[in-house]
Order: sequence, then structure tokens, then C-alpha cells
Amino acid sequence: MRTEKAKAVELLRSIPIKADADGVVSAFGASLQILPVNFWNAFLEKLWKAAPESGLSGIESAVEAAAADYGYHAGHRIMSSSEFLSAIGMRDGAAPEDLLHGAFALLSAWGWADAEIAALTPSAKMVVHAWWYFEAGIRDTFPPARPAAHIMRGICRAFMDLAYAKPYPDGFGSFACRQTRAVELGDSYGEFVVEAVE
Amino acid sequence: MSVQMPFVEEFDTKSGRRFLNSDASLVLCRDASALFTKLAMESEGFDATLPLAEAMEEAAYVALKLIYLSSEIGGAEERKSIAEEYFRAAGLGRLSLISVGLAGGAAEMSRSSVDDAWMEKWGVSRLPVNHIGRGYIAGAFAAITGQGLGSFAVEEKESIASGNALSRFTVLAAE
Repeated sequence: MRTEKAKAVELLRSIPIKADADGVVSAFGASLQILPVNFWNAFLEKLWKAAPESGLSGIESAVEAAAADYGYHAGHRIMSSSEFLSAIGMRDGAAPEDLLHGAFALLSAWGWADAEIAALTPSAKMVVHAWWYFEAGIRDTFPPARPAAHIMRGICRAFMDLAYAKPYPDGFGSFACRQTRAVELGDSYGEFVVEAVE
Repeated sequence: MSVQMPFVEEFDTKSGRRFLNSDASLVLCRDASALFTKLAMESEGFDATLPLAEAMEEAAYVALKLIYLSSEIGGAEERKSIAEEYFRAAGLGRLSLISVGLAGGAAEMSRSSVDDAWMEKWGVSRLPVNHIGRGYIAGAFAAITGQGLGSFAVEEKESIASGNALSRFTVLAAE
């Protein structure tokens, strides 16, 4: 599976991502940005530090929700694009499993994570293992007391919504994600468990 | 003045990390910047727009200093052009640093991907939304003038997301 993934990552990565004269990067059916990982992690770290103690879990939930919104709507646009579909050898009507594997290959190609699906029960449950993901970088500057990859959690559950819930745009919020292992806490990989919301 | 920015992209196939001028970077749709800007603007009990602006100030400062040092770029005009070019290449829009000095200056954007994404999702905003952009400008001013982080305060006076043709920023030396 890692060989197949490596091939998909290489194909996805080879698609040019270049800005025009107005600073607009058009690719994969979307307008893209290329931003330093340090920006995102510094923002999250400053957010955790600035939030009142009583509001911290609310902010964590808001970050996860924003990431899920992003993963669902932007993910749909990107995964419907001809660049994405042709890079991972899919046509309309391809199996949701292929869509999910392609989505995690894209996360790798775009520098978000080295992640792949460790277990999948269609329509019900997905377990993702990530040997590296950008949010884990917070361990170097502001070691958290509990798993802190809220953006990864949001993205993972949004991918399951896109793959197995009602057709877009009615399937959002059908799955939830828990982080059960964390590189930022010293585990050798991060584990994300996505299950259908009852 | 137009410059060819040193812009080296690398990819570590083992770790899946992507680098831009040896700075780890990630590609994402502009919607993410708008969503996290909204989150920052609507956070209850504290101003989360400051963390957003400061994080971009730091990131821009580090990225630009790296380019200036590695390419031995010392002239203010060339540094200014590179800061504008980096902003464009990052997909953040089209930035003009109109005047840059130790006392401050001014900047404007004829295109802003944060504003574009905001308007696409939520329409016109009553308030300026480009806290990422003002952070970038603060970091660029510090890197260009050789000052430290936090040396400049940037305010967005007019905003594309509020219906203006351009986004305009004033920059003052921080007290």
C-alpha cells in the first residue's frame, strides 16, 4: 500500500502550483496558498496561550470544527477536480475507498502529514495512522498535556463525510474523530479514529 | 523594480514534508485562511486576531530574513520587491509596499486571497478581515529595515472584503 501511496503522492506533487501576477494560485479546482508550517503552529500555540483557561476546550472544538468545514467543502472541490481524479487514476463513480486513499496521498503531497488508512470499515469506521503531521511540531515549543492535532481530527472526519455520508453538501457532520495516539505526546505515530455519529 | 526571487521547492519523500527555501510549508485552499480568520474574529473573551497577525509576522520575518541572508540581499528596494514577490508566490495576493522606513510607511493590496475567500463564503464584511495580511506587512517591514519582531504596528484602514477596490494599510513604528 505504501508503494501505491508513494506513486500517488509523486503524481499529485508533480502538478504545478504557481501563482499568477495577481498572487492567485489556481489548481485542483480551487485557489490555493503555500504557507509556512511555522505560521500555523505559531498561531495555534498563541491561541492556546491567549485563551482563558475556562474557554480552552471551546477553542479546541472551534479549531476542529473550522478544519472539518474546510476539509468538507474545500475537500469536495479539490477531490472533484480533474487534476486530483486523473492523478490517482479515478473516474466518476470510483469506490469511496479510492477517494479516501487519494485524499491522504494529497495530504502528503501538500506537506500536511505522512498519513495513511490503517483500518477501514466502509460507512462505519476508519483508523488513520500518521507518522508525521504538522501539528505535532507544537511539542518542540509548547508541549501539550493532551492530544492536540485538532485540525487533523477535523480533516479526517470530513473525509469520511465525503466518502460515505449523504451526497455533498448534505453529509457534513455524519462522522466524529478521536485522537488516540499523539506524536506531540511522545507516541511514535498519531492515531485518529473516525466513527459514524449515532 | 522586478526581481527574480530565490524560490526553491523541495520535498522529502520519506517524511512527506514540503519545503520552500528550506522552510517547511504546506499547500492549502485559501478557504482555510478565511475560516481561521473568522474563528479568530469571533472568539469570545479574548482577541484572537492578535495571535493570527503575530504568527504571520513571525513567519514572514523568518522566511524573508532567510532569503535576504542566503542571497546577500542588502538593498532596501530589492528587499521590498522580494517581500512583495514572496506574498504573490504564496498565493496571498498582490501587495505593494508603498513606502518603507524606520518610522513606518504604507502598503496596499489590489488582490487579497483572504478577502476573496471571505467574500465568497460570507459576503461583505463590516470589519477588515486581513489579519494575516497585516501580520505579513509587519514582518516584512521588520525584515526589510533590519528591525526586530514587534517593531511595527499595522492597521488595515480600507478593506477589499468591506467593499473597497483596494485594501490599504498604515504602518507605524511601535511605541
